[in-house]
Amino acid sequence: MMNSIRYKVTAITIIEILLAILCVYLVSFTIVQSENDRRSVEMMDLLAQDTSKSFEEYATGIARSVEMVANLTTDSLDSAKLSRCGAIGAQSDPARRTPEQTAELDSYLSEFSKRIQVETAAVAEHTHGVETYYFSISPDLSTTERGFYYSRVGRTGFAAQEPFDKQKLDPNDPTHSAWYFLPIQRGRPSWIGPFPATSLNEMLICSYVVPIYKSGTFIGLLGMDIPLDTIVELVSSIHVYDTGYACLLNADGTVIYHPELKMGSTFGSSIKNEVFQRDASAGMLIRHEDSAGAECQMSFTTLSTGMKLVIIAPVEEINASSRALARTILPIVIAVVLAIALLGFLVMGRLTDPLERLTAASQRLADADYDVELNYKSNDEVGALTTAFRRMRDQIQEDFDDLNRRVNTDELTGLPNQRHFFKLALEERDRLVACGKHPVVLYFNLGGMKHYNRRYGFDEGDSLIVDVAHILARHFGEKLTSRFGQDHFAAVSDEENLEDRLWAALEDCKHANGGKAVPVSVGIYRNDLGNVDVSVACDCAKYACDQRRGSYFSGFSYFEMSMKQQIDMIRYVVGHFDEALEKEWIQVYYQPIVRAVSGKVCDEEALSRWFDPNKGFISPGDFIPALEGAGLIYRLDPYVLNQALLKMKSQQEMGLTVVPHSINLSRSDFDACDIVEETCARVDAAGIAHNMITIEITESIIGKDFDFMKGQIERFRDLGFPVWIDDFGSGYSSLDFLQSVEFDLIKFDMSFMRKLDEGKNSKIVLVDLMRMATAMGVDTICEGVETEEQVRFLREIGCSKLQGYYYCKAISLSEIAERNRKGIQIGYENPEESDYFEGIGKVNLHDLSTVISEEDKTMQNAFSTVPMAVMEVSADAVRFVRTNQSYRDFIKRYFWPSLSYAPSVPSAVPPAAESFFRGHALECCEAKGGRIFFDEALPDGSTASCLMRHTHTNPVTGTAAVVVAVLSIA
Amino acid sequence: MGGRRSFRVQTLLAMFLLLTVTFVCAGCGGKDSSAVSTQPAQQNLDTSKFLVAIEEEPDTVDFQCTSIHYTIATNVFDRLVEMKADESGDVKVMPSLAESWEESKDGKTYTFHLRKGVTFSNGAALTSSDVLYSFTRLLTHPDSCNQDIVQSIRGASALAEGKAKELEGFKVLSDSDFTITLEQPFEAFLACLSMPGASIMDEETTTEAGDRFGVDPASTIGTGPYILKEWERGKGMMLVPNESCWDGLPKNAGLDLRFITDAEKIRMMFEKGELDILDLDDQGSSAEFFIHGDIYQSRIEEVPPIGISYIALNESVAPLDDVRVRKALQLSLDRAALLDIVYSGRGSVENGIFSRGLYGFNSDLPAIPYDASEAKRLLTEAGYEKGFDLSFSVKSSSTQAEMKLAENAVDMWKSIGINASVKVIDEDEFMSLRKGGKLACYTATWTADYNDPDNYLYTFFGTAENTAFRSLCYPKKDIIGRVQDARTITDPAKRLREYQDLERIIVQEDAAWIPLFSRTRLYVTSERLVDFQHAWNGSVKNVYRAMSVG
Repeated sequence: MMNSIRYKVTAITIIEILLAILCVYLVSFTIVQSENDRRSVEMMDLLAQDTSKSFEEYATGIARSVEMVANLTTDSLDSAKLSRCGAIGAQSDPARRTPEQTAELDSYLSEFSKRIQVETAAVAEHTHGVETYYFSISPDLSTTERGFYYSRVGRTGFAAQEPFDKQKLDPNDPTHSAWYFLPIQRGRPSWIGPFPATSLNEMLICSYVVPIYKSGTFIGLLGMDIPLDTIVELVSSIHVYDTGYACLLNADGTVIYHPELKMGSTFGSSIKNEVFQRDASAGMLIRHEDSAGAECQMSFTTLSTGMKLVIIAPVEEINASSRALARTILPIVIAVVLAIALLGFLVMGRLTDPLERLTAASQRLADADYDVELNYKSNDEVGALTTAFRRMRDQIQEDFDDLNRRVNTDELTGLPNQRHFFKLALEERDRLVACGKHPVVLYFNLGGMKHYNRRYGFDEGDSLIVDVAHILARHFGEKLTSRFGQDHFAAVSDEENLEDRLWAALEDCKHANGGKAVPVSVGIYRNDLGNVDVSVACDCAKYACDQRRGSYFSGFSYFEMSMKQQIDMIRYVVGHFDEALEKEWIQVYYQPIVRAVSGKVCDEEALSRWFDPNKGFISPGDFIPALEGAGLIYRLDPYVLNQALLKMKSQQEMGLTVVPHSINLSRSDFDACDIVEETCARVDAAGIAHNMITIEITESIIGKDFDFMKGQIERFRDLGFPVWIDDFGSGYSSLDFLQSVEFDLIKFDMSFMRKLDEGKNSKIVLVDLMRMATAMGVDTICEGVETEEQVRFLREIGCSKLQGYYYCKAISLSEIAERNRKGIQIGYENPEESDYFEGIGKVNLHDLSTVISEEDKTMQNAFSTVPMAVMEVSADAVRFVRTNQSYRDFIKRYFWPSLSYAPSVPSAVPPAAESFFRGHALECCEAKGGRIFFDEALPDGSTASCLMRHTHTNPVTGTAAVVVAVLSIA
Repeated sequence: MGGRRSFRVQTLLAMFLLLTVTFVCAGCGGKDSSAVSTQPAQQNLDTSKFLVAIEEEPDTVDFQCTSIHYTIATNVFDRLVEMKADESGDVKVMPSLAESWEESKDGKTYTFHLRKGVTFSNGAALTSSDVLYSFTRLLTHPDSCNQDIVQSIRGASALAEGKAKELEGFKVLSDSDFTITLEQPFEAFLACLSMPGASIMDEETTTEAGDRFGVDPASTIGTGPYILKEWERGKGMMLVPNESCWDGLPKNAGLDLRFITDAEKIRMMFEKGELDILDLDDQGSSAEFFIHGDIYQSRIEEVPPIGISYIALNESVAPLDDVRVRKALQLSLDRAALLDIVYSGRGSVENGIFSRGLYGFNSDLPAIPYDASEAKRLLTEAGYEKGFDLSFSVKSSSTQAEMKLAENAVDMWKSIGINASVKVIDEDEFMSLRKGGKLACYTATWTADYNDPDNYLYTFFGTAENTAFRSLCYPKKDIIGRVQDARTITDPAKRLREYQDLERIIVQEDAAWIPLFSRTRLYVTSERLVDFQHAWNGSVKNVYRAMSVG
């Protein structure tokens, strides 16, 4: 909580207040300091002025008095008389005065002086503090009349003294003569002194002296004296603050009066000289340390006498009042700060409380606790924020519920989806186990949904799925049933009465969607087999279910431990497929396909083999379905194609005979890419002719997506790639497609070979299929040929190519090279002869049309069982290439009763028969249209009517192939 | 947020802090709040840089209606022309408001061209009609005492006497051009126009002001370097610079004129440095303290004024109508001694009317000697060997010098048997008596208004009225006629000769007045006044603008 806004703001507030106070303190300290100084200066100046004023009143009084008398004196002087006496004006030189003039002047001055003395005395007596007064006449005017000089005697009054004798004044003794010479020098009224008065026992006095002029001529001096003591008394009585005092200085700063210093000593050596050159300290802050070291402040004014009156007071005392004030204010300031801090804290608490509550709520919201209370209501931002939070919470909750629903349920059926089911199933299983019961996991698969959808449309399909979902939910519980996707369901249940319930459910399913239902396969995993993860259990159940694939009836199968191995194998294969490719555990092997009529290799089938370092050899029968199941086969098949192309190319380059190679394509190849385009591109890139690569497609995948596959097959064939139907007859073959899809060859599944020995029926099927293929003009191969007997049979029934261990198993490229080197390799068919052999191989010895001609339909199927044979006619020999049973019977009967089939093909024509056919054969070859009828006597005398037709010519040997049919024997 | 009560933590916080700081500030500053309010609330003129001078307080500053107070006229107003020294130092008529002018060949018609862009301090432009108005008012104002200045313009008398409504000789050509035609040629006409009484006033303001002109500062509007800002009765006048003056700003920040008459007060003021110019004429005997005072020696300015001190004798009063009596009075005065006694000898004894420095001063004029026996002889000859009574009138506001002069003159006359006495008369009475031609004898000093002998001669002897106005009552009509005719002489040399001849006749033959002396005036300046100036006639009052105070 220390990080909450409330604490922060309060802390910031307090810090800012303190900062502000600090700033304010510093500023105000400076201001107060300077203001204090200013005020102290003001105060001291005021004191100085005040003090000087009282002195000035006194001094002015004296000055006034003197001036008053002086004015009177000047006015009283008779300028006309003075002028007459030669005392003033241009002729005022005393030397030029006549004795009469001098006498008149002296008497005038004497009389005048007396008159003035009376006036002066009257004034002096009424002027406070006057010690003496005098009038001193200039010696230039009169040598006899000197004026007057009176000094105070006692308290009563003034007594006449001997007037000054100017002749005796020594201008070189300024101390005693200044009073006379200085005023003359100054030419104006002024204060003189203090100076020691000779006549007053060297008493220090100050004198106000006015020079008297009349018409520009100096007449004399009029003045009054005051004792310095009077001034000192005045000054010493001054007290400022507690211990402050006043003193008197000369203009030059030397002491006149000081409580501590002697007269004439220098005052305040720390004070600069120029300070006292000013008239007054007005506004100046002058401080110095007194003898005791205390800081003092002074102020001074210049008195009219020229003396400086100095007021001195300790700074401490001057500033005492403002310090006291500061001391009073400080606790108030502190109290106010604390109060504001507290107030701020409380106010912030009030302001941030809803915010804190909102913060707590939002933290709980962050932890997905949607039950948090968000009920603060206010018009302010926090209120708005709370409302927004509340709305956000509601919205999130709503969205979350919706998402939960979507995440956990299947949209179509409303059942729990796979993920959710796993959770529910786990709980249920654990619950059942806890109850001592035996849980089972069921996996449901609707058979033929694709077909269903194609037939009824997807809406109906969905409708069916929904119905089935409801049925299953009803039987196994809504929370315990799940749709995994498409037409797959799962459920968890108790083993008790399981089968009954299951049957009941399956029965209900039959009536689903108005009876338009599909079979339902069920796989069951019993938990007793192992308390595995639910998802694994589902996998197992699915595996068991998949075992019922292709079943047209509803039913169930249990998962067994053996299945587990298969599952393991699948998992291994899928899990290691990439590694296997990369490390070449998967290799391409080639199995030769041998032409029945020639016994030479006419094709090779590229097959993949997995040599696993851990598991050893893994059968294609294991890994191919596994890869198919995992949808990975599309990566294997192109790999095989590439390897085959490489092989062919290298063989081509080595100048070896290259026969067409067939590769296998799976359904997923077509889904993964445009395999037609892909194949074509790869083949073209390798520079191999299209007809050298044969595409093998199993019958089963064509049947699964018929129209699509038909189109793909057509594209392959249009591009020149032969297309073979692989594994024909391995499953529930539908002959349907044979009618509509054109292809080049049917490869009979090896199961035919296995069944061949089992009984007659299989032979019949095979013969008829073979005949059918021949009739359709389609080549045939039988796989799994292992015995000579099988070879003979197959050759007879017209199977054109053979494949199997009888000839050779699939071998690696190195092995092929090895066999070639050893010379044990079966010889390769010259590809140029392929058409020829193919042609004669295809001749249906059960079909007369081959003899008649394709166009002549009249005889078609008319003689399906007439003896027929294919013969090769060379210039020197005739031999049977193929014969049918009927023909062989015919030969045996008429020419070669001891005939038995030679293992080698082609077989030689019996000598007796040779003549019978040879000539006709040659004739036939040359006949127009290649067809002749002939009658030939048989050894028993009867005549055989035969039809012969030249069908093929070997382009290499020039051998002609003819088909002969014995039409009748008469 | 719209109308919602918005709550912003930051704003509140900021306000809170501000409040706190303010509070703290107030708390800290409270103890010292007086420091803030020491500034004067009232907005006063800062007169610390004003030139301070002493002035006699007038009843009016209307220069058309006063003959004693021209300080406002010369500082607040301008004239068409100004009497100034040119580069070579000769005092001449120089352009002022009239930038230029032409004089017709017959000397009668002047065509003036006003300076462009001149405005009165109220912003009104100066036009020809303002000049016409000023002259018309000068002639027609009932209290006007300076009609003489423009009397020479054709039709002036008719206008003054109410016989005409307009000034005939004044023709406005345009806003800035006009012609003035004189009755007769008058060479001193331009010099007359430089007199304070010829100052130009704003027609509109002055008309509107009526009686307030010259009394109310706001109505007393001129074109000069200063504006009359305040006139505090009994205290003084405050003049501030006229920012828009055509002739530029004065050198000082204003004029602070004090009405103080007590010499001692003036002296104390000056000693304290509160006065920038001290006229020692005002100081009486105290003047000696400045003249002799050691600290003033460097600050004393000697100015020779163009003026003359004289003693007027009223010829309409017996026995002063007898030329022998008048000559006896002339000869019995020891004028050199008087100069010594009264002015400590600072000046020169004069023997005519035209004082030293004036255009036309005649240094060849014979000296009037001090000859008491001859005077006695003349008195006896005139039948007054036993003397006669003579009142020497002195106005109560006279300077000590005038008083002393009167007393000593009286003493000298007494010595030849004349029963002379000084008679102090209240100023108003003195003036009315003088203007009425009733004073028998008085002394005065005439200072030149313009640098032309006409200014003296015409003033005292130009007309019967003029001589009566000065209580001279000079009876010789032919001489008066010649004085008038002299004005029209266009040949300067001839005119000068005529003036000097008239001067000799009036003073030496007729002894119509007693010339005394031309003085040296003394001024003491304050320490801060650094560039003392005086005008051609010795006055400082019309050159205040050229002085600066440090």
